[in-house]
Amino acid sequence: MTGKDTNYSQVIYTAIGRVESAIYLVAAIFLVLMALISFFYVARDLYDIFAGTAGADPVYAALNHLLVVLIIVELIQTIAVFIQRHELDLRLILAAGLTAMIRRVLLFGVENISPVEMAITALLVIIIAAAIYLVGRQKVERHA
Amino acid sequence: MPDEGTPGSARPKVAGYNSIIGNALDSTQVVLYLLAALFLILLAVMAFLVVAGDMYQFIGHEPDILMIDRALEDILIVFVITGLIQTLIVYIKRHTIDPWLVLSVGLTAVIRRVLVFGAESRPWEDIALTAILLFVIIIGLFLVDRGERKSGKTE
Repeated sequence: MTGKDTNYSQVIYTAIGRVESAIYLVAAIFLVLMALISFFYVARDLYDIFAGTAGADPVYAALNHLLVVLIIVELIQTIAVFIQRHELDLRLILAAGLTAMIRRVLLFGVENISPVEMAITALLVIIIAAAIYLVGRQKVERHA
Repeated sequence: MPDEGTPGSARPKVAGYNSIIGNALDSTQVVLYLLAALFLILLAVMAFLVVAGDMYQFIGHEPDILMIDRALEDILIVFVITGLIQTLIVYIKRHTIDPWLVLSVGLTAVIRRVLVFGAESRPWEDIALTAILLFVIIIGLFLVDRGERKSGKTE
């Protein structure tokens, strides 16, 4: 491969890299909008609790909606890390998955869930937690 | 992510016709990857339109958190697409596919499924298969990392 080819490659990957950052930026804007909408739901739930017009389990609904905000914040953090360091932080994506599973666990308190489903959910939580541990350890060793 | 090295340094030089053919194929491959990157960028734009459509439901409809869940599910497609674009960038830089990045894309796709589990009730078989898939991808990431570390030591 000649120096000219290398220059072309450099121009190409720099350009694609910039477009990639722009895509992430647009995704971040959408996520911020989603977070604001989710806050609207949380505010509505809280208003319902105070007004006494809430349904069967108003605190559950508010918590459920707040966990969505946490998932969104974790994804925004993933984008922030990518834009700063140009690497995908898998721990943050896994953390978003873990929060989603905790959201599911919250559901167990409200609905009748079969023991098999509970066991499988527990297994998935363990696997995600182990994944966060393993990915985190590899990251530390790679940077050491 | 591993060190990306010097652009184009991974491929050794070969003399004669083999060199011409090899370089021509190399260039063709880069062009193909470039086209793939362009299509991926277009796909990302389409995915944003889908997300915007999901969020538009907020206006003029009875507000429902499922709308946000759907939008989140769709925006994670953008994460998968950017992961693939990243793989292509690394290919153009180093002329090798980075298995760690490919597995990262897989992991993002699995987490997209997991996000849905938090929102709606799914059959336990579906959750079990996702757990197995996640486990396999994590084992893959672990092995790739160990392999890279070993080859780094021998070099």
